[in-house]
Amino acid sequence: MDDLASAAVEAALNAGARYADARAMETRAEAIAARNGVIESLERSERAGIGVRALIGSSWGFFAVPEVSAAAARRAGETAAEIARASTLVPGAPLELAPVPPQRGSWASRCDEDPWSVSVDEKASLLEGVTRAMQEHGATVGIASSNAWDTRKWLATSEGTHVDQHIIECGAEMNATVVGEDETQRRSYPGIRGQYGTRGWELVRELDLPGNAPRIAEEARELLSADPCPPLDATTLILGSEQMALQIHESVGHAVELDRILGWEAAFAGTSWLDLSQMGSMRFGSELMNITADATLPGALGSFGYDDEGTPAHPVDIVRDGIWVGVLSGRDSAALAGIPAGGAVRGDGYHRIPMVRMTNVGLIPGEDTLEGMVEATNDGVLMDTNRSWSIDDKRLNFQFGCEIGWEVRDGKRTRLLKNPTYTAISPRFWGSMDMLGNRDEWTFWGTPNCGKGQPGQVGHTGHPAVPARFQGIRVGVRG
Amino acid sequence: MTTTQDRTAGAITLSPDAIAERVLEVVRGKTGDAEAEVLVRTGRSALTRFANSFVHQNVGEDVSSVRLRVALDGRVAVSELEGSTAGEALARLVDDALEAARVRPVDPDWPGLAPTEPAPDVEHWDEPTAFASPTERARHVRAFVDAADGLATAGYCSTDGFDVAFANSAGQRLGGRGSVAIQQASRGPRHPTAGRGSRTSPWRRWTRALSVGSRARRPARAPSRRTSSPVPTR
Repeated sequence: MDDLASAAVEAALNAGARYADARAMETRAEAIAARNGVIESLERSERAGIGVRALIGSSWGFFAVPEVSAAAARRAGETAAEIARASTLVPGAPLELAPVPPQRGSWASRCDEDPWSVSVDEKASLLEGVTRAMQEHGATVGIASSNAWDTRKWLATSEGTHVDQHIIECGAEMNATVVGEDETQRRSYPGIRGQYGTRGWELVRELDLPGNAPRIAEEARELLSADPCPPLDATTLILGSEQMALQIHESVGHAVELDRILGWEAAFAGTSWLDLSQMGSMRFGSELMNITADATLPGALGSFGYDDEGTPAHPVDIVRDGIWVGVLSGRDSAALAGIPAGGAVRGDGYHRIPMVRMTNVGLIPGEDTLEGMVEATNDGVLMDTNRSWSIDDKRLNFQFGCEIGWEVRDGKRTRLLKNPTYTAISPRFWGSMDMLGNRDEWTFWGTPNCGKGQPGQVGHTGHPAVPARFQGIRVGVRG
Repeated sequence: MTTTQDRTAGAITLSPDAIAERVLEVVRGKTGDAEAEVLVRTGRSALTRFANSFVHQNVGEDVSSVRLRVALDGRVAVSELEGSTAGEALARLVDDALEAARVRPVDPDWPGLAPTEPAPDVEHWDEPTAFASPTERARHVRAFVDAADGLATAGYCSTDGFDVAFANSAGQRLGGRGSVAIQQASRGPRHPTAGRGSRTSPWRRWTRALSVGSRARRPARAPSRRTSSPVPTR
């Protein structure tokens, strides 16, 4: 397959490209879903082909073929160059890619139990069983699903990089929905998007879905009779780590994507409130806030050996001691910003152009614990498990809803609250963070459904997160 | 019917209906009991994307996808294949669907396969759209950017041309081909979403796309209307 990628690169160069890279890829995926004790869907898919990028002047062209043959590879390279030449009719600023030394190597994610070695019967039995258990414990509807992806890719570039990777990703999720007189309530486990990682089926076993199915069904039913979260203009807010993962994803991860900052996503995904001229000096949050983008974290969903430009995985500081210091970037965007290549470019399959995507964007843990935060709070609200989200296209002003909340009084959880919500402006919110969970509560959450790009691409991102406490937050917002 | 081979200069050797027939053969070879239906789509898809008034992503792909649905005594399952149909790919496609069907419950509402019924091939085809070159798309972007008169612009234009074949084990055979062109663009004094327009149509009816740009510009220039002002989409 490396030979095919190399042939595609050579064809692009012969057709006039001054730089080219090609990925030959084979991917297979499996998705199983159960509802109320029966398998509702079981779909498997395969995808194989070659995608080529070519650069002429400062203009890119990309072309993909659904074949893995030498002839197809050459055709893809030639067509990518033809497209790049067309792009020069509407060129951007002069561009030299941020330098990355040529790489040679192989990388594979750790997988203790190949998801494809586990029988369909066993997977189906697990999912059917937990959905039945949720029903038996009060759920009107119990849903559970598992997903697995197996990706092999070979990257060759005109600068001499030749790397191959084998990445297995896996995970599962379940939720219990109860229907009351005028409302529904839902509890999810381990989170609204489940839990996913660059791991094998052992991750699903560790989640212990059967051990948690009764609990979430009972919690969902309890929520029907719980008091609604009261509207409070400024209170103490404690967030569990699952909600913190999405908080990081939406208000930090997307905001620091350099393509958004540069305006490249203006017509679709949006831009960013961040101004590059302030990187290195602007306060993003409190001194407790330390965010990295680290694709080297073992087992996290955004981990890899090399990004799709061949940049080796490495940690990038995004926020240090509350100061915004870094971005997610690729070789072209980094060059325009005058920074080193960030190694954060990936494409969703051979047929999609690699673009800036989150790796594992998450918090460095602090010193506290979730229970310590509760004990240290006289008057506040604790929320966990994301239920809804809304954020403007500059990633500044947001509103989140959670599945479950608790009133906190005098250091104790005093009553269950349903439909908890909160809203804030990003730097004020992060600036109010005064307690942060420790390493024992550090979870590498995985988000397998981050949408971006045209044509649309689905990204798999990781978000190391811990519980955290914030001050002066508006909660209980409606509408 | 035009084959993918015609359109992509030798890229893929089988037409969509030939691929569909082959999948049904493989199903029959593995189990005579299964009901099966196959949907095959081949073609080319391209999208030219611009922001900050320059083309920053310009992509194209040859598309080949096969979707198989089987029913074993009312147990229904689906598998999909994107990419080469050569070698063992079709056999794995069939194996995956049959294995999945065996763990599915019987669907009491499964109506069975569509019976054989004469139907004309669907023809929503416009040759210039299906064969639009990257240069043609870039020229449209160039014209839009130039018409913006210095305002920031962003958006995309895309063209697709595809052949589709449907076949099932009850004998039904359907086919068709289609083409689509879309332009979505916006412009503004500082933020390009201040004025927005979009248009969807076959390419040859799409040469008036620049009028979308001039309409999008008006709200952007008006001092009292700084927010998005959509232009009707066709």
